[in-house]
Amino acid sequence: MDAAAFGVLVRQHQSALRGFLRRLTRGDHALADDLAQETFLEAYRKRAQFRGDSAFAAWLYAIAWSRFLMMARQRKLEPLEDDNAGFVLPETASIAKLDLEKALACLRAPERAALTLCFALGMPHEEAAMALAMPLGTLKSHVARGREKLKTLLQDHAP
Amino acid sequence: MSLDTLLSQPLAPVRDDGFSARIVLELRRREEWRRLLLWGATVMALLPLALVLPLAPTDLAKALMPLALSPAIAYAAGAAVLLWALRPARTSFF
Repeated sequence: MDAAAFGVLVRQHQSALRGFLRRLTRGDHALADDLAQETFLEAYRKRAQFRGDSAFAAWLYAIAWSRFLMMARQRKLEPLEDDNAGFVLPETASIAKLDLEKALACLRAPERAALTLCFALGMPHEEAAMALAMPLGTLKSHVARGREKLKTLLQDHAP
Repeated sequence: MSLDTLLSQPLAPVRDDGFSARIVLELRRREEWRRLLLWGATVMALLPLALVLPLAPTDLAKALMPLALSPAIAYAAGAAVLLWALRPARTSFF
């Protein structure tokens, strides 16, 4: 596959991937686009490793997720360990004004990623688990925990 | 609207705005650079071999003669010598 053929794939996937990364970076468009560019460049470099036994999108999101984690660790953006230390419930006054994006921004990165892949991008749980390099059970826990937190955050927001 | 419905709404579309073109351009630039490096490394690896090639002096002279007689090389060499010669004069003039 040459650069021109790969360009077709980039055009197909750029919107969803950049949207996913924007959500992961809590709306930092410039950072998300940098990560998306690195993701596509790495995908092209490693294209021989793609065996085709999984969806291309899942493989691409796996690279994006690993890039995001590297960047988050380097910049110490947010806690990535499997605890709830990073979750801070905003004050009640601001909860009512929260929209979904703001509420999602309060979740931990793995929860944001799991919810986005499984719901907004409609990825099957198995593929999402592969993309996020975690066991299926862990992914389901992140989805469940993320939904619970969102319910709490959005309860005053709901009509 | 239930939470699952809210979550299942597709992500807001992101306009390409030249993003894909920039990626392809960067890929081509990197490929060119890689090719150049590979070519350069091959030449550098083969260069020492030229020193041990069993060429007679006459053969070497014959091989280099067309190169030496090339007008383009002569002009380039002349220009380089001229520039080198004028350089100290220019600095002393100003």
